[in-house]
Amino acid sequence: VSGGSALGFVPEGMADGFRFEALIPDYTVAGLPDIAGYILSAVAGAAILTIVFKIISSMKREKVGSNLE
Amino acid sequence: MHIPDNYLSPSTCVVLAAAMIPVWAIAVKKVKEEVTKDKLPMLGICAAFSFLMMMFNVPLPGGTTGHAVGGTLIAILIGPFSACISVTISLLIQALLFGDGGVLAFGANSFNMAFVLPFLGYFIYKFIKDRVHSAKGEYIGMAIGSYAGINMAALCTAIEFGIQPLLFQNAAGQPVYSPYPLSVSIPAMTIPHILVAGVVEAIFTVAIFIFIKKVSPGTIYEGAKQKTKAVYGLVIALICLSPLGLLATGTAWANGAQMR
Repeated sequence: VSGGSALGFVPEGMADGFRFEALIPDYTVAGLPDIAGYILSAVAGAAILTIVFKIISSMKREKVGSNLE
Repeated sequence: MHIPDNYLSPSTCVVLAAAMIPVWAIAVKKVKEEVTKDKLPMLGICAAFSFLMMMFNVPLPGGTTGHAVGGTLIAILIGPFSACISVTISLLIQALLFGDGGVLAFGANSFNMAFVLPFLGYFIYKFIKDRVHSAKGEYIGMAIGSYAGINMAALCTAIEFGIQPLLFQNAAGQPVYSPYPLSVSIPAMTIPHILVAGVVEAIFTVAIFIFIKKVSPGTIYEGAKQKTKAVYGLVIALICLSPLGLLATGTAWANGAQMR
């Protein structure tokens, strides 16, 4: 079964299903060596995630004496 | 463990996304109520942890690759509801930016890795910790919880794959989506996670917890010294080490979108 050879066909829903083009598919930046692309992806991902929550945090109002909104 | 698009039927994706909506709603409410303004960035750091841990692909028996998720670690650090949000956002970035995990399958991936994994892992950890009152008991709870969490998530993923050929066939009786039945998908997903990925998850969980407890106990215990710089340092260290994840270049059975 491995490699799909025993199957003999590609299931139709998988052959022509939904396609989404990611910006940096599979953590590979075109024209860059794999390792550089991978590190760049790691930096981008980690930076975006920390920044997103920093922004959410900066929008949150803190009330004195209560941590409820 | 990231399910690509078109491996699951759209209806399966809708069901699992629908199951996640109340979970997300409760998690957002909990985080809003319980997490203070200055603790919120910790969710982002934890999301980055999870994102980076998932980049460390390890070769698995059977010719595929797998990775840790860190969901239990995050649940222990900031609570299971915050962990749910952190891992969800991490999965969202992976799907949208890197094509890691499908966009339609986002609900399914969130169900497995942002819901089942951190909650089960956390509750097993808490169960053991509350009964074994020592640092050792806490670490054992952490290891067992994280190991069980990732394995349960792998099992859920396997079941979601395995029910596809049962539910969705064309007129000729051929499967329309993931073609392998439960008898194939369950061992294919669970055995590598029991043998390798689960162990990697447990090691990552305990190691990172011990590191954070040492350098920035305030991250874990209220009122203790919190050194965010050291935690950021760990993020940077993980970034620098991330190419190790490239060493395992097997075709992933349920990771990425190899069937393009």
